Amino acid sequence: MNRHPRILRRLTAPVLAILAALFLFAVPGEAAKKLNVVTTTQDLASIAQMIGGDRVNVEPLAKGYQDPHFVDAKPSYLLKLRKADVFVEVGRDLEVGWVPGLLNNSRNSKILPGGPGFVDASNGVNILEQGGRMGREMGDVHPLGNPHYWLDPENGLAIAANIRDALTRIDRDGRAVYQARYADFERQLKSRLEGWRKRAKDLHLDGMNVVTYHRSWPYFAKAFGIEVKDYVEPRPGVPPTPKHVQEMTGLMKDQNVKLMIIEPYFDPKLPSQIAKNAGAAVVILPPSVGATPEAKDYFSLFDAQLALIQKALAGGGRS
Amino acid sequence: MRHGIGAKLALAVLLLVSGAANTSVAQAQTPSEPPTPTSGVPAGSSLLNPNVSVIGWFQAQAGDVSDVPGSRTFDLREAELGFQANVDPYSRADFFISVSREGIDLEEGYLTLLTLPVGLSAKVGKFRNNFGKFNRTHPPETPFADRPLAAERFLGEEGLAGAGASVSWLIPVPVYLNLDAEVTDTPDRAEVPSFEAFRGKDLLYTSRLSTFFDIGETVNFTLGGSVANGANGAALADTDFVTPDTKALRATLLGADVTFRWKNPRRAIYRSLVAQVEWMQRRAEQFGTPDLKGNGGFAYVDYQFARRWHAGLRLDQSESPDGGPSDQGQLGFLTFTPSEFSLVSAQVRRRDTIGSDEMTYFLKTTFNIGPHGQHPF
Repeated sequence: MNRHPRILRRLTAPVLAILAALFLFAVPGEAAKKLNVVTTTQDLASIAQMIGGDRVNVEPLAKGYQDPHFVDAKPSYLLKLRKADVFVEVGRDLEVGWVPGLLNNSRNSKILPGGPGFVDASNGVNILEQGGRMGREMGDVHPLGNPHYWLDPENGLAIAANIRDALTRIDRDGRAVYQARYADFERQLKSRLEGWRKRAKDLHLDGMNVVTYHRSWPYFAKAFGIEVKDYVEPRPGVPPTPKHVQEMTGLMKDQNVKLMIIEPYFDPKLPSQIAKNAGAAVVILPPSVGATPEAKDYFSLFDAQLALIQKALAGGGRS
Repeated sequence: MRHGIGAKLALAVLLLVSGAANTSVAQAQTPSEPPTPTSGVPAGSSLLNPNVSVIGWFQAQAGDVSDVPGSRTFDLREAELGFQANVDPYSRADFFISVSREGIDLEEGYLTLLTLPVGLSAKVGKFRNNFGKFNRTHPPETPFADRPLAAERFLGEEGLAGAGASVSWLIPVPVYLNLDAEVTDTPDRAEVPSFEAFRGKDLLYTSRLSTFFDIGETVNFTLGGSVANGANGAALADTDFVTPDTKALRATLLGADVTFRWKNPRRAIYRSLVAQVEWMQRRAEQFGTPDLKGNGGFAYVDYQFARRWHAGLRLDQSESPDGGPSDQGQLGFLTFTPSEFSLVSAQVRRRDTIGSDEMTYFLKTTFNIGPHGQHPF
């Protein structure tokens, strides 16, 4: 009758031995002296690295080629989150399908919302598409506004300021470093912004009619004067119907739409066909750092985007 | 659990009041207001009110099971109401209330402590025990119209759940390794056939050790081992007399589970595959006779072959919790998901049990309203 506890006793010794062995590998190394910053996306990671410099280790959870709405909440992410000093998210419900559960299981009170290490990078950003009618009949909408705000380079400043403030809160000794690096980031961004705007002007993007797959590009469009006329998804998260395809093709012809922008995580077959029928060029544009090898950091992201648009417009086809 | 008309009315009033409050908050917000942190707090239409969500589960069934007296062709199996919010900076609360033709049941209601040290978290209240992988999933949210044979026979139609306390430890090693330890009231055998509450002090102890690892960026595995030990009331009932010092006979349930996942993160919304195998064994002490031993398990594959389509197959094999002949079953399903918030699934099940070979056809529909929740993983 006492066989069951005996089974448990037999299991106890090997389990404890394995745990003890794993503890030996868990000794913190040199990296423990730096602040651990975990971000949801590579865009935020790039900016955090520029602000934190040598004082931080930065690890993004999602890769730039992933759809940030649909990232699996893998338990392996908890290994990064439990030792994080700072956690930075895009916010505005972009990561609502995977981040809240991870944070609640992180066993790290520093990075919970309201904690000193939690950063909602959207604070202070002028968010588009807020308010108005909201309901699931409109698709998978974001009630707190469009969350793709990092695609306006000017919003990079607000993101960087939020990260600077969090790093300073956690590491007061690094205050001067973070402030200086932020000032350098601001100077570089403003300088490059002039170049990007000039390049966009040369490409005649100001006032150009385009269509996009998802509503990822209103901030990018606003930054460079592009007019987004329609979307391949009739509503966010809803695949196109044959009727919508037909109507969209007609609209593109009527509105002289020259360019279709597709995010790399969507299947380009159908949208490419629509663009071909409407006589528009197609560009698969990296929406985030890391989505293509050229988009190495937050600055080169915009270089890569404008280069791809130039190539698409020059070739009149898919780029 | 059955409740009167009064309780239902009270719940309806509570829901209406809650809904009205949410609306007023939403209308009060304007774009000119400064942005607020947008994660970990109730999203969108509610700020200080809890997130309120409802999952409806409608089902039609036909086939041999329709011959059973009391069976129904159409049934709104369940409306699952969820209320979730942070209580304060240190804890959050989750309530799930199941409303069905059997009545209103508090399926889960627990407080989770989020700020404990050394990788610990804890919860108190009523919750689904962390035994195996499948047991934690609420019935409307599984891919199936029914429960696997072994889960039904060993853990009951609603799954293993009870009131008590749970501690979870994220072990500080370089791989994901989590240990859960729970103590809850022992359920009645009518609800969970593996155990039988006899006295209040005969508690159910559950523990689970689980690990997870990635192989590249497309494949990952979850492995888990579980044990539950609780009173075995049926054996005690065989004794002629019981005193306060009488040793309660126990039943031990061992479980093992493996989950394989494949998904290309560059095309996450189009293709994925989940395969899961779960096995359990129950040993029940007997007074003066050898222990009773029963085995059961199931395996399933769920393949997403297009953006909105899934197909899958489940194989069941299970003895009764006390052992005996092993019965088998198979279930196939084809599921269409118009959006993240609804699905329609046609399913066919064959069960080959002693003296019967039955075919059942299901049409399962679920639909969710409320804020966007966590994606299943």
